[in-house]
Amino acid sequence: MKLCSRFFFALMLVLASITGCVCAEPRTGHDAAQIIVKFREANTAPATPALLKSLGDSAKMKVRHVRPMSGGAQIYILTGTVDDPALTEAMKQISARPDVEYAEMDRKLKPQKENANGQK
Amino acid sequence: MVKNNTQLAFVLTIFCAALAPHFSHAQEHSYRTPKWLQQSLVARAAQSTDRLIVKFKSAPSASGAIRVKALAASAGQSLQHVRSLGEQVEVMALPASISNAEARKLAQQIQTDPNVEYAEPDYKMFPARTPSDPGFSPGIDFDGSANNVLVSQWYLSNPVGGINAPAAWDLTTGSASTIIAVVDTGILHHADLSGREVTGYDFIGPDGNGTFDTANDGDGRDPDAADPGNWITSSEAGTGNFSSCRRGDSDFHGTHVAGIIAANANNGNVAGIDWAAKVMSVRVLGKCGGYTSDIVDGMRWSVGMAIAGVQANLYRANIVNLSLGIASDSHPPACSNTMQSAINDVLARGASVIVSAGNGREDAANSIPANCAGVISVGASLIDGQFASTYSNFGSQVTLSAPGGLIFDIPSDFGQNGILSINDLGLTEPLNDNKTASLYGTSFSSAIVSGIASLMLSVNPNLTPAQIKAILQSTARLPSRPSETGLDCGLIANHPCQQYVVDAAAAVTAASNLLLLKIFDSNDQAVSLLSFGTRALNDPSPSQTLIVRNSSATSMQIENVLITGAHSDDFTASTTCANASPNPFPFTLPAGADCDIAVTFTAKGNNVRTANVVVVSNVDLSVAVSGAGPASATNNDGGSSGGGGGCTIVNDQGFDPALLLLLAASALPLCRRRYARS
Repeated sequence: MKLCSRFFFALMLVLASITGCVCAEPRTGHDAAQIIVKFREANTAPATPALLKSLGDSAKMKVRHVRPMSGGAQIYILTGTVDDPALTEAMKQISARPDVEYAEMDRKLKPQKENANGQK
Repeated sequence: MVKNNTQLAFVLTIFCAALAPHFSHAQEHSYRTPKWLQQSLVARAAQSTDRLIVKFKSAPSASGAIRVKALAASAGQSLQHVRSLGEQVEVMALPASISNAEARKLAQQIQTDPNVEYAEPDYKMFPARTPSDPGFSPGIDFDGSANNVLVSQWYLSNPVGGINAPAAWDLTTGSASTIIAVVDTGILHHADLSGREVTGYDFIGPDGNGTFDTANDGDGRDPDAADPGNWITSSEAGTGNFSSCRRGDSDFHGTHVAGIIAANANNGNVAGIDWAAKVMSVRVLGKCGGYTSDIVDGMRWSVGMAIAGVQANLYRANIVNLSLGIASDSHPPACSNTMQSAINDVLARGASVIVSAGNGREDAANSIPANCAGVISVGASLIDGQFASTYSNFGSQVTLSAPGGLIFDIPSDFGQNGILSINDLGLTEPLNDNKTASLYGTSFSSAIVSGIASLMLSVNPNLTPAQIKAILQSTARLPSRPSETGLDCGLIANHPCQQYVVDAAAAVTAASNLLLLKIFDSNDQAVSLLSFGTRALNDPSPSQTLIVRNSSATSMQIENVLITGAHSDDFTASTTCANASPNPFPFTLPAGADCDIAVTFTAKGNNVRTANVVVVSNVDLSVAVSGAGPASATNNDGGSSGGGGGCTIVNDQGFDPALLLLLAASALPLCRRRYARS
């Protein structure tokens, strides 16, 4: 009986890990996504209209500056058609810019507590 | 009965293992026992005794006192009868306390008496320190429910799957000077953390659409780092800001983690691993997790770095615990630039970053921050000492394992083998009821190692993150069941698992011992610079001696002795203590032993020549070595005069130009101070 329970539990875990795919979760649902950009030049003005337009042209989305963050990086929000393929391409294009050291999704990290059924 | 015998055998094995270093003193090599050691051993109560136990071969024909008197006479020793342990066993007192090593020698001598079956020191032993909290005690139905499930903090003391905490508490119960940042969901003001918190901060800002869905406290960043709960309702699950989350009750995860690390002991509840350290609540996880940008801001703030728009942190964490994670989205998998940059900043400030290996049941190389450089990444083990292969990430990126527990959702098991800590029974908002709960996952493995690291820092506050990591790895133990060692990690076949389980007592002991491994010169003085003066080119100097001394009570592994630095080819270091060639390292330096290192200098260039002799152990000990070749008018061999003017030091009387440089360096602050005053 106990063996059956354990097998069932393990099966549940496997299914959960399969179905619980990690997506590039946008910060505001499916119409926007928050990203982190670090420029090569530390004194880059992060929110000039020219830079926002230039970033938007790279991403093929609208770009809004949110705030600076620690480590000298900047946070932006991309809006438009923010599905996974579009986001992937946008990040690829922004990362490839010569003025950008790196750009990546501002992804959500989760507590590493197991919880098979959501109950405490 | 069998079980009891097994447990007794296990305890005896541990005991014998702990004593083993004392018995294996200088088996292969000859070491000097310096005078200071004889004095210091007498002074250490735990290392000395003033009694022997002797068993005679035949039944007594006279009283114990008379037999002991006869034994004393034949052995030429002063022995006083104390009492009988049985018909043939007598306890006798020595005239003074002597070291255990000396007592063993004396016992060996007495054992040569034909009437004696055995003789041994009456070692002084001390009870392992245990807290009175009912949660600590195995076998108590601590959850207060009527299900008769025995819930306890097995992970602290279970002889198979526990972390050996009581033995660690014999050495230290922590220091109030240590601060652990719990970068998590926030910490409730639980009674079991009373007096143990320093000011924290809530780093969760608004969501991109201006709401505070993730923050769940109605506002953005502010000094209130308490946990408002992180429940997800059925209607919220899978939508909007919670698109990757399922329905779930509030888990008060940060409070749980903080309790494992530092819950007050002996107050009728549960016991934390560190009973004195402070915790800092850095709230970065809300409903459905927390954003990388908030997490890294919180990490940097926790070690005293300035964050725009956030009040300065008056405290500086020594340990940053990250019981969180996510699968990498890069190909090949890698740590994110943002996270690695923050980790580098924290490490540069001298704080350790201790993280969960992750619960994906996959290679931790795929999991952020477990795959980031410089972290201590902790996988999960179970009450039977085995790897938690049903959920824990594994692989070479995992530094070691610690109990993460496992809970089956059936009445006979619920909570029994989870990780019990302080929590709250609220399913949504907290009830602030000062309750406890059992949870499981690598989150709590990370917390356990953070608690142990804080104990290590309490005995040796100067430990670097790299040293803490090295000690934790070198002192971890293999699980007792050999069937799952090797490459087969339970359900996950053919994947390497890090199954070494953390041992709190061994780690604290090793951390403490590092203070007792030092280098002295031939005059028995602590040394940081060894000078050779000026030599002709390619003319070897007489050797000078450095003494590596293990003043601790246990043996230490010396991994290597190296010459590093600008002119490493000019110096040699050799030791006669190591094993025979071809590879003399590593070798074991017994407790209390010295090892001589002979250092020579052969100038292979002009002017000042410098390097370092590095003794590689759990910690690297370094002594600067300096000499000089003939002065060069052209100063073309680097490193001598600071450049620019071609300044040379004419030296034909054995005067060491390195000393002149040191003098100049020491005078510099005085000059600057005067300049500043003027």
